[in-house]
Amino acid sequence: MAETPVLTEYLLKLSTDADELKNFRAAQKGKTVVDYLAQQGLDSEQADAIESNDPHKIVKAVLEELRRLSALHKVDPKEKPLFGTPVTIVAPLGNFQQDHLHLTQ
Amino acid sequence: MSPRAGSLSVVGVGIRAPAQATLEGSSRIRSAEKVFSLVTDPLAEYWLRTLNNRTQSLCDLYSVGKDRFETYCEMVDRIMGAVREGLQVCVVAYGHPGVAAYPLHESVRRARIEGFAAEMLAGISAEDCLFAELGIDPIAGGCCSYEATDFLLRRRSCNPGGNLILWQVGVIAERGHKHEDVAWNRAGLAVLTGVLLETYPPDHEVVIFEAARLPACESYVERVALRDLPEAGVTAMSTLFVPPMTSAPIDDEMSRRLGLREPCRTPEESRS
Repeated sequence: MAETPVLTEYLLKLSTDADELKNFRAAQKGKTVVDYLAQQGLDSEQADAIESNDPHKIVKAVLEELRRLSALHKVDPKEKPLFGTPVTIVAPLGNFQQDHLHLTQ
Repeated sequence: MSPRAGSLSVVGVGIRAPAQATLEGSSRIRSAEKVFSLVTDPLAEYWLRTLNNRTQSLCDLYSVGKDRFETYCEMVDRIMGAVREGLQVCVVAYGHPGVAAYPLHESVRRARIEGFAAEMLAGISAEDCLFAELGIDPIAGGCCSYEATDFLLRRRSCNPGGNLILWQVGVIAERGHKHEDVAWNRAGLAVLTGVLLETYPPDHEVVIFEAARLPACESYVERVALRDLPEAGVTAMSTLFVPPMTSAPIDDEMSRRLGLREPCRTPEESRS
């Protein structure tokens, strides 16, 4: 069973789930965001990256997570379509800094 | 004559994908036989692959020191190569796929000339985010929108009674490609400031805007006096908003010609 990219999936959830975004914003406002994110399964470095509100740090944390998982697990591409696919990430913030993620199966 | 086998859909997924992606765009991505991506963060790239694992990035074609136009031509060749193979191709771009997107317009144009079905589906652009987040109505006062280098090179005129939006103020006169996460050309920014100072006073407030790309982040909004623009927090992705300095007067003669009993005024003018 492949490990889920927790940070990446959590950011996707924040993108599409208004209730989750509301809870996240409340934790941000209450200065409890790191604890809140730990409850969502993020590790301390990932939570710190999000707390920083710095897109570069968040992008870096996402890349690190995807790299680590791809190195650890042989994953069926149908199950986790990112893995096993040569991916070029342009990060951060579209300044065309290329970071080639060749995720291996 | 029926269209040839092979088709092209060019789709914009907004600045914050997947939050700003549309249903029709997502549908095209899912059903495509080949997806090419031109997105700016790993979250968007990951999300695309959850929709369609036949996704390949076009971003490997960029490299430092390479003329961007050469890169764009290679993108068109790669896209059209897949269309000519008879595949249903979807190209996914961040923002609006028709804004500052030569290779995407060119691909649609060539596909149609060669008899393939081709379409472009709108996405949310940086300008759309700017209108929403800065509270700007482009219809109120009108709005001119220029790419910054083009604005300077062609000596486009400023209308101080209207809104002005300048794209790519951090990459003025840059034909290539850099890794720096700041303005690529500060000298160009200084030239732009000088030109704007021919119309606007030095203390005229302008706004540097960069829409948030990630759901946990805020958009970057910096308000500075025009004179301070060269030192402001401009990056390669920044857009500059210059608000009106004056209100354009109403022409009474035109008002009569149009049969208006009372001149049309904006809500702001009516309140004042």
